[in-house]
Amino acid sequence: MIELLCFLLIVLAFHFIGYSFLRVMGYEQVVVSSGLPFLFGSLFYTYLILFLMSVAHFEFSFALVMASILILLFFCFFFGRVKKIHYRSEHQKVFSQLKREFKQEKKLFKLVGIILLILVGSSFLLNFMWPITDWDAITLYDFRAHLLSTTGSFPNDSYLLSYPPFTSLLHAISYTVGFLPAKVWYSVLYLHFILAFFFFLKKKINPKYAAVATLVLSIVQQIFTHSLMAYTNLPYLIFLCLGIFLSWEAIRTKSIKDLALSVILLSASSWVRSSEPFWMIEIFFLLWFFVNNPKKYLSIVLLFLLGIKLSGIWPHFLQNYTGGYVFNIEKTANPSNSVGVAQGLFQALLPLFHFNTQYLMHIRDSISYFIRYVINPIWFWWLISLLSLKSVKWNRNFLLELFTILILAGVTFIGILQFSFTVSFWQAIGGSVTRMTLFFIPLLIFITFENLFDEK
Amino acid sequence: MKSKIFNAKSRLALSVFFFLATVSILLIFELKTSITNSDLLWCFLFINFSLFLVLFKNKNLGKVSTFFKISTLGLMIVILFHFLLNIVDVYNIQRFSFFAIICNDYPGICYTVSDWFYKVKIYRFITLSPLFFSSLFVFLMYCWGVSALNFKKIKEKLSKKQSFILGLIIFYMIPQLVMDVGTIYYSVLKGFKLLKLPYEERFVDAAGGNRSHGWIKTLSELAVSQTSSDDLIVIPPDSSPWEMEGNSLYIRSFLYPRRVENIHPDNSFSPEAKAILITQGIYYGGDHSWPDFPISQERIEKIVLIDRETLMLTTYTEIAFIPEVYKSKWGVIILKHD
Repeated sequence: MIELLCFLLIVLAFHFIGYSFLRVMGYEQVVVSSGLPFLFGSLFYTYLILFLMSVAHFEFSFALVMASILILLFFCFFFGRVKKIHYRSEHQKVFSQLKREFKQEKKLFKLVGIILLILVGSSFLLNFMWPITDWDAITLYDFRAHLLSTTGSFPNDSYLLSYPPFTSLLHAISYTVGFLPAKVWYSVLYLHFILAFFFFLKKKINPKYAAVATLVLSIVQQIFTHSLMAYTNLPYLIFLCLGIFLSWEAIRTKSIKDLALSVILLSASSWVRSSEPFWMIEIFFLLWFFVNNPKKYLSIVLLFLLGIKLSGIWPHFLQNYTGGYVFNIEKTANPSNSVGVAQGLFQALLPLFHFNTQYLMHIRDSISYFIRYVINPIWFWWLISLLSLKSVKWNRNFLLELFTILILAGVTFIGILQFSFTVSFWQAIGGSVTRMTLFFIPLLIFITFENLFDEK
Repeated sequence: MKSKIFNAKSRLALSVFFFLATVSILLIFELKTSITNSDLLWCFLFINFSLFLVLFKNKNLGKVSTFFKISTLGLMIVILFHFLLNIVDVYNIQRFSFFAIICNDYPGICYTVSDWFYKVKIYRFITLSPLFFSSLFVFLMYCWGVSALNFKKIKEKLSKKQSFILGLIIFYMIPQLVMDVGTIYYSVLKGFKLLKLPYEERFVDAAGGNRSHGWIKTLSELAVSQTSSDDLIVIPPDSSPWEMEGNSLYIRSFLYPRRVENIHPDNSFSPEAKAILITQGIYYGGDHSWPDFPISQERIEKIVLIDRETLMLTTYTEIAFIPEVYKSKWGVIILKHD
């Protein structure tokens, strides 16, 4: 029971850390219910842990877990005093405001609320009951967490260091406080993602339609089942999608602080999985923002550097604190290095200039692979978003969203093409590609509902 | 002209008929194999078509809505029974002292109940899949919801295009919700038994038990109990039927902090090796028992075998390992070190 309490206190602490950060950044108190505070809190906390382990050479332990929380909470209360943040009254205010809002469409919100409660509640319950049995978690994410919590340091093992440590650190934190069902973290993340999705969509369309869209998202089987698995795909999807929603919001409102947050979230996606280069979409957003607001070029350059730095934290750690560990994996597919992956993508395009039949065959195979593993598993959402195109106002806002989807799809395709050249067993890992591109589901649902119920 | 078929009684009769038809369709799917996503989509298409007939012209719906409401509540009671019968192992009911006393005092009642249990095939009810119940439950909820809707209001609020796309989304999402609820029900049913165990010991049952994937944990625990933490354990090659125990990345998490090494292609292994796994494959590998090479008596300290059914251990000392003798066996060979 005490372990559960410790776990809940940590979740609450993450929320407060993130909330304080967002309020200090100048956000209104309404972000309380946005799910973002917890996500930012967990992010900063895991960054701090790695910093203390690598630079200050602390061992991962109960003392470190608690000390890190206290350090961050101290900053929260310090800035809270300076910025006059009234945590309790602000939370109460937002919840009573939400209550008022929900009363307008009582029946609909009640129905949505009950189904969401069943789904999220079941996710928590099942993660309490069932131990981790997923292959990748046993061999890597969870195993690494066990090693961290028992030995106090990262193992010097190429396979165990091949992925960034976000989820392993979360697991290790719960093991350190004695809370064994570490899978509950995924339910917590699932809950906050649902809240964040509703928060962003509510800004664009009527809350009742946003609630329906949120319900649809939480029901989608692939997403729900991922909340019951200790894989990195769900946390990755969360950071990437929310980063994209924030970027759209930043460009719409010309807000540099939204853009800063989006850069942090997008870079954070590479803190969860670094083998995919999708975080680089932030360059596209920064460019778009620059074209519309050329005067803010200095901030944009600084944000670009911040993005590069943040996404390079894990490779930096590997190079400097694990004795310059050299990976046995091919350089282009080195999963610890996102820039390396991006180089690989460009290399895949190079043969275009030496056109030959072999290359054409690869393109043909990659197209069929793309259709089979990227389009087909979520065909419905592609179809529905295409159908909703008819009611689209072809303005800048929509073009931005369209280009985002096209770029992400394009990068996926080029990645597949590159894989077809460099990895001999590429045809056998279609399932991984499907899991990797799950982020299209929230994006397509978001765009569909936004197009369909445009008038707020 | 008002058609007679659409009076209140006919609507109710139609609802009952379509409800029974849905149950029958789901039962057919259930008996076929397991219910798939496309089965659900077809079934849901049928339900929508039926609902359209029943709700046509949107009049006299009070009774229809009440019918679906009562059916949903009734189904919830049936599901509760299904849940209870599943978590209480009815085949060993005498372990509850209450039932034991009743059967002792009134053997006639017990005999009649158990006779009916087999006669009426109640055991088939217990084995009905969670997906069958979740389909019925969600579909009934849907029918109840649709029959209680005010279509006029919706027409005022939504354009034709919006209603069409929203309809499509609902059409696709209901079977997905069925799948989610099915997963939840299945996992709660199976997970209920896990709750009795401490968290660390749940893996075996969660991974299908000792007759399935969970065996890797039991076998690993045997190897762990027979070796010390810095020992090296030799495992089979990483190929079928040893995909699990031959995968060094996988099995090392069960054997940690012991180190593991795949057998070399020439059947040699490091001289520092302390133990060799004996395995026929986690998924019963037929004739492919392993090690498939003899090991002389001088090199062996002991052989510890574990029975996959009873988990009984048998230890042999001063014995050579001859592959033919150890077919269909699991265990560990502890090697001699001077």
